[in-house]
Amino acid sequence: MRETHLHGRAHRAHPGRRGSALAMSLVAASSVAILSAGFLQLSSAVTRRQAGAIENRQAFYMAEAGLGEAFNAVHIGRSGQIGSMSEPAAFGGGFFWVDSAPTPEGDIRLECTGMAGSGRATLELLVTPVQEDVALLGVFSEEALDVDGELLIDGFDSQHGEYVEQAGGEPEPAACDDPDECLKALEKYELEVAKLNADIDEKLAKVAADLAASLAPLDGYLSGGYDDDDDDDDDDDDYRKALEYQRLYRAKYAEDVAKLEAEREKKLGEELKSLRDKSCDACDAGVATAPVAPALNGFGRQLVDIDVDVLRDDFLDVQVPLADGAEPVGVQLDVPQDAPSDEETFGTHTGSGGLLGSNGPITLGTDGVTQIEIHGDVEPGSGTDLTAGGSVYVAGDTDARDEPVELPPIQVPNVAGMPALKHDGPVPMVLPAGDVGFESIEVAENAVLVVRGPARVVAGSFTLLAGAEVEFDTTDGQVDLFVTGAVNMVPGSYVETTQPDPSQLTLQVSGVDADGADPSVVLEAESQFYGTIYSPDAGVSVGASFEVYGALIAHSLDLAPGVRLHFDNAYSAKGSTLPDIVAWSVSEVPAAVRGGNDPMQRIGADRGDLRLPADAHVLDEVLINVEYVDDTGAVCDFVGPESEFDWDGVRSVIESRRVLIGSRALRNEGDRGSAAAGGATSSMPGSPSSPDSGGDQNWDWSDVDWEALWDPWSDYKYSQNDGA
Amino acid sequence: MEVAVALAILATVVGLFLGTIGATARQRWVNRENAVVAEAVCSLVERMRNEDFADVVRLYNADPFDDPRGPGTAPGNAMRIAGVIPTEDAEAGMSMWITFPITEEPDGIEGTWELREDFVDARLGTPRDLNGDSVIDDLDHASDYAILPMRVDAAWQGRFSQRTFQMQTMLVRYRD
Amino acid sequence: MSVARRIGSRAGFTILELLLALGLLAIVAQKTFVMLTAASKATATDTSALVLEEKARRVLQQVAMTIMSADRDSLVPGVEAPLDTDALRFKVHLGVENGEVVWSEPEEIVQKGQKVVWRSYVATEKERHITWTNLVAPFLEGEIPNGMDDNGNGVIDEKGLSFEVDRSAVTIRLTLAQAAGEGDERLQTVETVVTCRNLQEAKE
Repeated sequence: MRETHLHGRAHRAHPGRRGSALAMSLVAASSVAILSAGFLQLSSAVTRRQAGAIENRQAFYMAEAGLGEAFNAVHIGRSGQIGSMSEPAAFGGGFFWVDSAPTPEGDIRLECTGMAGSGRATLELLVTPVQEDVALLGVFSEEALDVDGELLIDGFDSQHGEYVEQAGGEPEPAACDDPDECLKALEKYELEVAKLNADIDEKLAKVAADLAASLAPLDGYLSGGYDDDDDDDDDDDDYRKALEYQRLYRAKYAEDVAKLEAEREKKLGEELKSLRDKSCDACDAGVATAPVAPALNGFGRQLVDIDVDVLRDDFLDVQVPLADGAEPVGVQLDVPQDAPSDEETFGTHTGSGGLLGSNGPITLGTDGVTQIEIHGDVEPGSGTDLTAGGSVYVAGDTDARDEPVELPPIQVPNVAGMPALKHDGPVPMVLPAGDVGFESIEVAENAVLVVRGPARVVAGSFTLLAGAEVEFDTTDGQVDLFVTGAVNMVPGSYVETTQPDPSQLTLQVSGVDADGADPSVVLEAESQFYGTIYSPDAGVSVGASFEVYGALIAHSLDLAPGVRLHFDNAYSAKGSTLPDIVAWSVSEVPAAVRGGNDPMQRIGADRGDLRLPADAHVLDEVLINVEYVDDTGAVCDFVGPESEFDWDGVRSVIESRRVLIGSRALRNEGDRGSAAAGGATSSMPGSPSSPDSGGDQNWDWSDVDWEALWDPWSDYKYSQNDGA
Repeated sequence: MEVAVALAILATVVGLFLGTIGATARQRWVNRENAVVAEAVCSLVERMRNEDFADVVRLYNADPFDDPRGPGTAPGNAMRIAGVIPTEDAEAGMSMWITFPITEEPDGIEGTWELREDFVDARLGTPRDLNGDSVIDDLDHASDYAILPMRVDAAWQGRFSQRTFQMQTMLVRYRD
Repeated sequence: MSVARRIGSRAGFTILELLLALGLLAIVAQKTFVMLTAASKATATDTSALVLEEKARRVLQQVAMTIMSADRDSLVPGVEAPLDTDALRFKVHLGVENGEVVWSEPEEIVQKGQKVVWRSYVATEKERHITWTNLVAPFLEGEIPNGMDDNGNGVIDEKGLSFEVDRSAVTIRLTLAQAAGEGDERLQTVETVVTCRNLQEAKE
């Protein structure tokens, strides 16, 4: 019999089958492991994506921080370049840098890349830097200014009301559009008012007469008086009754009078108001000077005033006191008259705020007789002075300018041209809102041209003949008139501006005077001109009937005797100094920094070497002129590249100005309009050839005369695209 | 023996697999919390951008008496995040805080706050000029700041541990 | 014949051994299978919830980034709470040409049935559209069309995709819905606020 050694045999499987369980378990384990790995992979991918999305958002706000830093830099006059790709600014746990480059249109393109962990974001901001308005010059002549006739220059602020209010007067109502209609409406109104008054007064008189008739019989009972001591009680009763009747009649009378007056008020206020409103303020003012016809009562006597209280008392004894033969009383408007002062020649004025300047010497009234009043500052050109006769009054400073002013050229808009416009018809011609250009514009006698804003009108020349009228209607928007040739508004023509806001109208003349020729801008029309007149290359002749409220800047000025010019001080307070945002957009992340978890590793920089955002501004392109108080309290000034200026020693800034060089050319003396914006080369020695070099550190400043090259007016808005 | 070993191996593998599932489930919670918090922080920053720039400090600082629309009407500098649990030591159950360069009690007077250029916080990039005059002084610029570095910190009790999140940016006066 | 050969020639499993081993294996396998099934189910549920949430956030981000570039004044309609809209039309900045900003033709993000669709050149021959998702719920989570604010967010009867405008900020709410088996529905709601960075009036 064969023994069975199960146990022994169980320990030792057939060699061929040994390990099969292990193999199966390994297969199963592998399957599960693969499953796990797959699941882990999916989960990791999702986690990575979600974490990456969050880090991308952090990078987005990092880039927004950079754009904000750059925008603020542009606001204070810097280029907006912050750090660079190889040396970004460190902010929080991330980094950013901003590349700044000018555009041909004079804008600045800021592109910021932000990095946070594995997140990357690049954002772009296009901004237009704000330029100072040339109108801040007030009344300005580039050439020497010589005035030998009466002249008044003062200032006002259009943001605080009309000139006449600030000069102490009452504003005149706007001119009437249709005087005939107004007159008819007014006449009808007057008629109705007179009828109403007559009707009510007649009724009042009747009521008064009724009262008198009612009270008359009571006199007998009241005359005896009340005597308690006598024995006639009937008399006493009659007296008391008479008193009671008297009281009732008087109360009824007062009630009737009140009703009639209320009726008069109601009809004047409601029914006749619509008639009143048909006439304009200007015509109303005229009517107010007309005498009001006196109202007569039923007795044929003028009822000037009905004082019920007086009547009540007087009815005890006498009739209603009626004025007899009183003269009609009219209402007269008071015409404001300033008390004339010793130096008053020109009527009302504000007494301050004026500004007269020039790049050359200014000579006023040297004959010692001519009355000239400058209620404000006079600024002759740098290195020159003011020469004034004994009859000249200047209220403000007369210090010469520190530097000459360079008047930027005019940017005439590119508007499709049409043939010459000559308007000589009786029907007013209206140029609607929008851009339009003409070879020339001429308005003939008795013709009216209306230019309705918002509009930009370009003309080769602009002529108003005697009797012609042009109206600049800025009710709905600004009107800019560009004239590339001559402007001739002859005496006897009219120029009207509908709104008393000088910022809404500009007359810009880009024509050039021929050598030795008379000024090509002749302003001798009759006008209260609210606007800015700018003629940088042509002389302007102003007649006494052409009164300017705003600013007048010209290559040369010829002011006729009796001219009044009023500088609008609102120019200096107007508008925002913040750059205009043109557009914001998301840009593509530079390929060099894509990918990777550690931004430092990606760009090959050392974290410890990086600067904070405020310290990472690239300043090589910035020229600064700063007057400041240092830590010791001393007043100091500095002109030079801002990169060489230590702000740590500054306690407070008195005044500072920055100019970008490289992107906007710094002009040398006598070199006007030499360089174009965007891609322009600077006249600076050793400067980078491209304005978007991002702050080349290799500029050589050693031979530069900063004082001579400083030109603070180079950033006027008209200076863009010089020569472009 | 083999079967035992095989079973042991299987058990281990299955255990590991289940562990993986557990870990990914935990990770899912963490991801969700991160996303909720990040969304809350970003939305807060966007709401701040929507406000008048001059009012941002007064709306989102700790001072209730300078609130532009009346005391106590502004959101303040601390707020809750819906969907996450605040930490145990969080004051009033808040999960999110805004940090400006604000000095508390600058002159030792309780309940006063000043927006200061000399506030020291390297992560915020301060001390720095805030009002555009290029000078760092010790004055209160709450009414004339032109650039405002800020940080939003979030802290919450996650499902498995305490978690934090930070977002940093700068607000700037873009328009008057 | 050697011992080994003699032993080997007698190797084999008895039926009992086999049955025991198979039985053990079956039990272990069954338990393992049950555990794996349960885990897989839970995993699948978690995964699909995870995926749905990720999808919702991705769509929300796409909508948000598009609106960020929009011109604030071109938003149509510009409705404020308690009103909202499920369609927002806007223009985005394309670039600058000859000094003038170029704005796009009106684009639109709209809920069409269960889809969130981005459209450009709306109602023209050149109309293009991209569907960002087709899982949008008819109404926002917790909201039913009854003229009341059921979910307490200050908006009445908002749809699955909802825009609410407050000055320059747009609040975007999105609810995605997915079938979860056995008649159930899984909802995922996300919300964000973005501000429009562009303002057309800034430069004419």
